[in-house]
Amino acid sequence: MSYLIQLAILIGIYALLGLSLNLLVGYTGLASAGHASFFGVGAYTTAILSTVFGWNVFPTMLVGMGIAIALSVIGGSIFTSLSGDRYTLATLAFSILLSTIFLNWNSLTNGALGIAGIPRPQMFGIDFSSNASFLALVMVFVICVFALCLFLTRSSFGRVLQSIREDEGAIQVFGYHTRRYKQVIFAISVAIAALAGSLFASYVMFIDPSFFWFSESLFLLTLVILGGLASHAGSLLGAVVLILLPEAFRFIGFSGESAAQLRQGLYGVVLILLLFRRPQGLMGTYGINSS
Amino acid sequence: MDLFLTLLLNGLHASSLSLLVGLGFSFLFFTRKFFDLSYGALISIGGYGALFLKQTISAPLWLSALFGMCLSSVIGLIIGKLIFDPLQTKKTSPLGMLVASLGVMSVCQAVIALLFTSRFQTLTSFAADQTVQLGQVELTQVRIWLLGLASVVFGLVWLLLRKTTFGKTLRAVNDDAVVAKVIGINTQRITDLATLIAGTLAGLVGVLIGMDTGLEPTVGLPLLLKGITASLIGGLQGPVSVLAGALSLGGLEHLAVWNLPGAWKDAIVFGALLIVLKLRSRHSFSTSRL
Repeated sequence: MSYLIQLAILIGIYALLGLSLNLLVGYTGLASAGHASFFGVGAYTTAILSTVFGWNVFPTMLVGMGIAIALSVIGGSIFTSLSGDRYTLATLAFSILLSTIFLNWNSLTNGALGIAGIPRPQMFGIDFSSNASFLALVMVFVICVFALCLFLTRSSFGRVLQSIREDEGAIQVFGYHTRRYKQVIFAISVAIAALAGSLFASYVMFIDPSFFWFSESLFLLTLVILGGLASHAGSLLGAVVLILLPEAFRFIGFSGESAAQLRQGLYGVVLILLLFRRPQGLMGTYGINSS
Repeated sequence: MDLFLTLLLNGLHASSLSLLVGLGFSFLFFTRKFFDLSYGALISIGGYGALFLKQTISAPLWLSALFGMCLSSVIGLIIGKLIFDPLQTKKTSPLGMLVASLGVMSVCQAVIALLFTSRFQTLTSFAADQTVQLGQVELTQVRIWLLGLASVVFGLVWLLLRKTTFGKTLRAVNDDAVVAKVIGINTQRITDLATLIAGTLAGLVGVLIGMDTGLEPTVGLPLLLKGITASLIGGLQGPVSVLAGALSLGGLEHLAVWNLPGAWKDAIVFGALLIVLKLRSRHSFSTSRL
């Protein structure tokens, strides 16, 4: 039972990441290859503020989201003028840049050794230190973010995003400042990723830079494409499938290092198969292959 | 003076690597017209191929290197035939192709890590430890080799593209693949040959990096991004532009940041990539010429 709760917590956290990344990839057509870095920004903010300064985890979430938004504004001056493969390349470079910071700014992030002893959150006398209560907290966040995403994509704002995806030039002709829209959705998306990062850090209690490397961004991209582009339910499905699938390796006897590598290879195979057979993913409405 | 010489040599070393990767990558980019990130994995495959031969039958350096280069070019061709050709026949967008190449890269890295583990390994027992004294600056032999090979490869690529029929047809395919096909050029064969050349160069880089700084399964991606950055700085206008881009990037990496710790040098490169993407955001890569 406790094993199932642990899996459910991870699924919840990755569902948050999937929902937020789908806003970019699925709804706006911007395939970000750097989402894990913003996940890392949230995680490191929570880790540092709670271990060094003894903050409660909840306010650190807000700070993490704020830092992610600030970074998105800095990076956004570059990203918003790009689209398609160049956007992906730029986010990839940005994410490696952030990883370099996580790894080398020793005085702040403790480098490759990582940060241990991150506490669980507390609020109104409720202590979320048991896994069951933490799961409840994660689920509350998933429901809120799901509702937010649903609201966003069904609003007129969301319709503009989808027109940017279909034909950015055409929607510009109608007087929409597409760069502003791309900036806003990028900020919202990375803020949710940072929130997921705070939850993740608080849940696993230990983080190091390897959690947020490029391979993790690739995993998130696979998750979103597999579940379904431009489908919120798809993001949830993608999280469930991609968290549970590698658990099968555990039962057929692979462990540790080789299991991690097999997982990595599996995500690659899934990505290639999807492009061949089902570029819109399981529940998606828009294909990553369309120009 | 010594400091200047050291920086100059380090800068040239970095430039040679970006030049080799950039030249190899441009053969792929100009025939397939998308950012093939699996090229990074081909670099690793070349290095590990050489390592494999060295470990199993303790082959001499030249044989291991040759094997590594053959392996990466053949695997590059197989990947192209099995995955990229069918996807391009289905008119997959450049973004879709890039995502597919990420998948390929992921699989290749996982296979390498399963076969060779992901710990750091070097090819250096190959007599690379000798250093050469240049004034008061020490230079490893590998770095001299790298510099020399980069110059030779650059010359060969330039001659190949400008002075041979193959070069001419390759430029025609790059210019307009459909018209090239209409006038009777076997575009598929040209693409395959370009893929083989790119793979061979990737293998060469893999072997050199294995002797110079060492191999790990993910060693190729940062190198590839450096090559792409150099190509983009040059403006994707053929080998001379890659050379210009590689020299500027190498200079930037080492002269501008000589007082920063080494680990931050990569940050400069990726910052440069971001800036050059931004500056060229309105520049259409599809009109680029070889």
